Amino acid sequence: MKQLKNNFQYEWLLLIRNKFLAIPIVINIIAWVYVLYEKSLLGSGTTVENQFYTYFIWILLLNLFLIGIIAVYIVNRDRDSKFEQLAMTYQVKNWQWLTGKWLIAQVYGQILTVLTVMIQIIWFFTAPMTAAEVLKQSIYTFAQMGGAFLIIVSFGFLCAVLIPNIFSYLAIPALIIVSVFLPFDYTGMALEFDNPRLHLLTPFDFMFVGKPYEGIWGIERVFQSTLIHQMAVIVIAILVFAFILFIFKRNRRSKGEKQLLLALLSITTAMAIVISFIRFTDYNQGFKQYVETGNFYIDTLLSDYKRGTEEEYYEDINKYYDEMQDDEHYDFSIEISDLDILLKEDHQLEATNQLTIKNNGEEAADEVLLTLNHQLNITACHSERELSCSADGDFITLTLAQPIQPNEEFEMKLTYGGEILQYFDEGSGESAFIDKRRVFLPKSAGWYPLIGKRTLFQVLEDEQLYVKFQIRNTRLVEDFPTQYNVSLQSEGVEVPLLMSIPKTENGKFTGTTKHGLELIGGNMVEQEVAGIRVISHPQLQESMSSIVNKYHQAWAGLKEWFDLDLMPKTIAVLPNNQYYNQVQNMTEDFYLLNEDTVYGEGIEEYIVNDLYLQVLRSGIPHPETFSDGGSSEEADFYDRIIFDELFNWSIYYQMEKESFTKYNTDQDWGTKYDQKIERIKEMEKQGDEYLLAFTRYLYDASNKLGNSKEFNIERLADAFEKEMKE
Amino acid sequence: MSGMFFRCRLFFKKWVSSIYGIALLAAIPIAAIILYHDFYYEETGKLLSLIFEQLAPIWLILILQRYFSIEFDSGFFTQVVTYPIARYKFLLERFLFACMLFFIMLGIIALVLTSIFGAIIWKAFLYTLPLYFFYSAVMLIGLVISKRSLGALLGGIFLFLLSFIGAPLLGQALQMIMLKYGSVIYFLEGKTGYAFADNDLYYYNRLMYMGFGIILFILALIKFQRKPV
Amino acid sequence: MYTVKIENVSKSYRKFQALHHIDLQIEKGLYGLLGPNGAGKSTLMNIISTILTWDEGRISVYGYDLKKDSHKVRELLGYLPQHFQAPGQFTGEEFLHYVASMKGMNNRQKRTIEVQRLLEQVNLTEHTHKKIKGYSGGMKRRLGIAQALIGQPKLIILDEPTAGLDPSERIRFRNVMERLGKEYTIILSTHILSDIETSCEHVGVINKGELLYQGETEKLASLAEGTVWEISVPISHYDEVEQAYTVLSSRREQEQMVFHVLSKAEPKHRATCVKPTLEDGYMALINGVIT
Ligand SMILES: Nc1ncnc2c1ncn2[C@@H]1O[C@H](COP(=O)(O)OP(=O)(O)OP(=O)(O)O)[C@@H](O)[C@H]1O
Ligand SMILES: [Mg+2]
Repeated sequence: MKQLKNNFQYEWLLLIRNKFLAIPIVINIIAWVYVLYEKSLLGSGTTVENQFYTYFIWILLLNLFLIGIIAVYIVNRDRDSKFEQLAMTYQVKNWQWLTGKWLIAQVYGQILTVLTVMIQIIWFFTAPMTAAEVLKQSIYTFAQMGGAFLIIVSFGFLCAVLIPNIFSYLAIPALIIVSVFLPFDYTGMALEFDNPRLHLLTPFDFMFVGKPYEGIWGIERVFQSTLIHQMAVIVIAILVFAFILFIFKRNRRSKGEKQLLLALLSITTAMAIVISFIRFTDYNQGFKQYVETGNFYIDTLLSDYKRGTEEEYYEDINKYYDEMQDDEHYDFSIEISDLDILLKEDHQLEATNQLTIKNNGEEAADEVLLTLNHQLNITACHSERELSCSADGDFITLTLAQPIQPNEEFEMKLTYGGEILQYFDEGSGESAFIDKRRVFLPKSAGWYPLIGKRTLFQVLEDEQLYVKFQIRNTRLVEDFPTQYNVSLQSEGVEVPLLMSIPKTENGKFTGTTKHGLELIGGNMVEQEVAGIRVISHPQLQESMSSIVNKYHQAWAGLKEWFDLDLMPKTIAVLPNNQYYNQVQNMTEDFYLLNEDTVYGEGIEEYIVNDLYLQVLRSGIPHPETFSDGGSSEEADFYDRIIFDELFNWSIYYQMEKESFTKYNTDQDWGTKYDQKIERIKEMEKQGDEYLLAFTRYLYDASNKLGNSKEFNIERLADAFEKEMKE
Repeated sequence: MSGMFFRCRLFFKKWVSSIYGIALLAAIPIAAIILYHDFYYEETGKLLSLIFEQLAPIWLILILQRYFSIEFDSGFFTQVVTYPIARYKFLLERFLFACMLFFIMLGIIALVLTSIFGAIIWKAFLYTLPLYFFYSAVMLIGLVISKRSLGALLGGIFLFLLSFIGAPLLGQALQMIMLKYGSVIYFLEGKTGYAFADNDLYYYNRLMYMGFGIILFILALIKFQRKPV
Repeated sequence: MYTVKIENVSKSYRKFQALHHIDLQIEKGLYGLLGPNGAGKSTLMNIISTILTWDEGRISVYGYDLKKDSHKVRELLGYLPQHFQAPGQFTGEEFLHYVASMKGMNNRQKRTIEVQRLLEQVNLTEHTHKKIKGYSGGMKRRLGIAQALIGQPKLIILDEPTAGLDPSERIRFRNVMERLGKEYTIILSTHILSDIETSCEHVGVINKGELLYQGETEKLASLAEGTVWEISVPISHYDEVEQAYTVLSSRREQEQMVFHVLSKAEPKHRATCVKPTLEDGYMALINGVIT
């Protein structure tokens, strides 16, 4: 031991006296300074955690490379100078010689870890966070980074010992690319060759898309599995090092050393297998369930589909999804729904639902359909009317003894419960969950009865993906509003719970909506901005109020100029991934914002794009571009573009009051476009309001004429000017 | 000049008489053939990007490293600088030898591919040149700072990693892997008619790398010329 | 009593056979290893120092089998390689402490005493706190010698220890060796025969991997008895003599050149047989004049 201490001390001397080894620390400091500079550029529109984790992975990868190289260097240094050969004639034991070096490389790595964690702690304390929360986050960072460095050093040593030349350095980037590249490039859709389970084979837990931090849910989802993952990483790092000791200069190794190493090897191997297995099953059950969900809903409609180029493919797919939107009309409605819910930790849900169902159709019927996720089991089904319930998959069929007449209502009561845990993106994220510190039950999870036969998931065969299908949420918009009275109770859930309908008193929510119910629990607050209820992370409160004000202006403008009433009653700010999962079923009642994009410069442009998409999604007649088939029956390409520009500008104008010419300066569509735009600029001279009126005029014309040749801006402008003069 | 020719020949002879050297040279065409045959590409750009922007830099790195290692790793360069040859010329010469080998091999591939895909290959090739130049300049800096081929190797590899994993960090303007984007290919083909506001960006991107490359290159030469060993 | 016994040892680097069936017995005291460049001296020394493995034969050191008990041998060993390199960032003192610790001296006080003693022995006390990077060639060499001597090794192997040492350092070195040689086994190789002549009792001569001679140093000189001749010719005959004989030395005396040459038979020129030196014996052996 004393010997080891000596070796370590002298290696330390060598380390601190080598000026090149200061480079990584300098690079780290530069990186953090850059991050903080960027942060000040972005303003404090987002949470500190979001900022930190956005850069964390980069800094981790950068350091992984640097530390790996240093590990290789530390071994190669004495070998290349032949000093190792001389040292091998000393009594020093193999393990002492290598362990001294290994420890010094580890210490070097952990210095960077501590540096990072310290920066994180200081940074996080600038935000209103509890000490416990900061501690948890720093443990996470420490486990991720520390474990990753531990194992990269071991592998660096392995490469250096196995490859006795300069190419041992190449092994480090190769290893990093091999292990990290697949999950790194991962966008939530693993391609055919990309088994998502292999994403577990990384030096740090990489089982997330983008970043581990999930807004109001923090790092709760990944925390525990990351600790297990990193435990496995640490054990494997030691295992690899023991293996290196075992193969290093075998002729120099004494018997005792060999036996000790064999013991260490077998112990670490056993531990590695057990812990890795735990981590694997932890992930694999999620993955399996994802596949089950996919297979449950799979639709083979497009099985003989031939892929064109990528762009064509996405166009086709989007078209398909648009066509398959779940917007089918159903004559029945749930008038009143009284829902008693009990949430339990570990994704358990128990509910009693009192429903008042009405026949809005013109004919009598004796069958009413409801939709409830098949993960939930119905335990009771009563009504004063004589009826029988039968469940098949997601669908519940109520068969009534007496047909129900038009405009007639009846009441019934359903009791159901079970586990509700759903995954997205090959199990690397959860889309419906009830946990201690995070709850999310979106409407699309089908966690309460919906009227009619609704498809909860659209699953499409896709040969190019590893799981052979892709999943999207459907757009569950109802034909008639429902009045919900929800009473909510929870066991073991420690965070505040909110719903897409307003809270009336403790645990009670009431509201009438066409959208349905969403239930969110996490680190969040509710505030009212310009009459809109906004649910967000507490740190986002301030920035959200200014952003929602802007949205409000834009929505108000849409209403004023185009009679489009799209203003929602409630806005929730969700993390990136959830946003993309849920964006399909946004409605005028309940609107989602993406935590990642709602800050920084150019928020107005972002809002313009967002609202433009909202218009597209809402099924209202809207300007339509980019289906450029070039057929002679269609409106001129440039006309459509100009109309689009005008429409977007008119949204923009509500917030910024900037003239069209200014808004349009960066556009570069060639000379033909420039000629046509001259006319618009001519009209602009009459004032911005004049141009807004013209845009409205075009909007009406477009609704009437569609994408036909008749839609000709030149001619419409003539007509408009004439009309205005009169 | 004849001296240089002799040295060039000597280096080349050494190169082709080692298994590693031959394997390295052969790797370029072999990988190109495999890539061409075994994968289906929806767009030519993907293949071009793979060959020119993602694999060729590795070869460039390895070829340069090997050339540098001959004199730098053995410490012989300390001797060479006592000979009546300007230091920067010596460095430049080694660099040129390595580049020659690299460009001859890549040229052959480009020639073959041209017969399949047409002139776009040459345009893509030319479009990537600034990138190669930047790679070499970074390696040269690494070399003169560390006085070992290791410095060059690490410099090159770091850049290579950056081009892959660091892509989002570099932002749009500094992207190193460009050819895989269809719009870049359109740009190279000189297609117009659509609005590509980014056209200038594609152009400046490479100008930027060329510029950085030249600056680093000159810095490396100056440092090598000045600094006593 | 032999301390190092080498029996029938062969070694090849891939196809090239560097040592052919070497048999060598070495006793306590100084042992010189001679041979032209590329003879295999370093190879042999590396083998005894447990750095290289060999193909066949047996080696025992102080009764330990070198293959089986190499760790025991290392406890007895002090070795200086031909090209000694030390991490440049250390100072001389730190480096010796470092080495001492790796040689199992973990008591700091004892180590300090030992390091001081050695620094004095190789006359580096002035430079103890200088980084090794800043050492001159000879200083580095002396540091190398010091590291070999740490821990009072019973078997000291020095590969050309005197290369690059100035005359006074060489004398100092020789004295140290002579003192150590009374107790320990020291094997040293060198190309400077005067180093060996005065201090080594025994020598071995290797050429092209084969052992040509082993025995007392004086006997090596006497081996050449009757083959060393002094001839005196006019200067104009210089080339002629050089072509005809292996010339050991030449000097000019007025218009005459006086040569010492090697020859089995009596030369044609007027020659007198002279008493051979160690150098003469070595040259005679290497050039195959005697067998
Ligand atoms: N690593 C090696 N690979 C191949 N051949 C080697 C190697 N090391 C030494 N040799 C060869 O073995 C022979 C003996 O080499 P060695 O270094 O033992 O000579 P030496 O007697 O120490 O010479 P010198 O007096 O020049 O130091 C030489 O012919 C050399 O070419
Ligand atoms: Mg030698």
